[in-house]
Amino acid sequence: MWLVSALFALVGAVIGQVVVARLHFGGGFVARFLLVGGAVGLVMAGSLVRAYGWGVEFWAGVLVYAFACELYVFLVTLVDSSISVSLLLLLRRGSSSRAEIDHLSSSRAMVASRLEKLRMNGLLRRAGSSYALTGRGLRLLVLFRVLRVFFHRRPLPAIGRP
Amino acid sequence: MLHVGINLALYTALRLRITWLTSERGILLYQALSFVVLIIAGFASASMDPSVEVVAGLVAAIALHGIYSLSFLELWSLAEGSYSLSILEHIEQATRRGEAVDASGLEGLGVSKKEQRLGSLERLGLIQDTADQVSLTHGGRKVARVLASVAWSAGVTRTE
Repeated sequence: MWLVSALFALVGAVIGQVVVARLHFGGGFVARFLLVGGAVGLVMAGSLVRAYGWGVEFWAGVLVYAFACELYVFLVTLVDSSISVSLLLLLRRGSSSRAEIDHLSSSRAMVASRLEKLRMNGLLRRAGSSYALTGRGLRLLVLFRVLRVFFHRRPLPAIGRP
Repeated sequence: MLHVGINLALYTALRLRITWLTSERGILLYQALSFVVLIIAGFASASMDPSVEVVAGLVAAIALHGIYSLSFLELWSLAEGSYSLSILEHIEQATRRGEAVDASGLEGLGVSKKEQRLGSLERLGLIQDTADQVSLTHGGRKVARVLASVAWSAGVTRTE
């Protein structure tokens, strides 16, 4: 019952998110899903407490739901930003030569799209004809520098220099 | 919770001694192995006491490990070579040197990333390159269909 509740809640959260996305209320996917998924999760948690109290079945249901939601958010962010996914979706339309792939998925468009996404997420701001990091962007960069040292023991590669 | 704590503590202690643990394959195997150990230990307990509470506890532990492993792998992968983070790093360096952002450097990075990813997709058997025509394999078409459904559900449209 708790497992079925968690899976039904996930389906409900995904459908709710699709409906909210189609109604164009604005906001990014993550904020939208946090809102809808959070509300559905609270309802599910309430029904599990009524059925099982705060026992292990309650925690099992909540954790399965949380894991399923994280997996869905991961998949969507992967689809939204991964270069590999972009190539797979491009090739879904039909086979292409490497030159056609370069033309259809141009690096200039890729850079422009990333810069715009980073700006919309508040990590970059326009500075004249160029860009500069916002405070939030700088904090994120510092965090990932620490993580890079922790995971890989090396700094970020320099770009545009030999 | 204890198992996840041990996983993180062991990784922190061993990553400096075993360089293999900092590679993509190494980190995937490390997390997969930890998952398998948890499942075997959980099934052993469940077979000794097959009560609903023990089974629920096992499922909760697997879900918690899933949340931890997915977060760990995401952070690892982003720290390893995210294109967006490389752009942020590039802009921060240019700002520190008092220079304008070098767009051609970013485009060059985009080209090399695309080449790397085409190679990875080919190695994974999702695409094939025959006579300069790149196309999806049977498996690649299935994966692309799932990803397109995910994109549709979230209202994501790729512009590049």
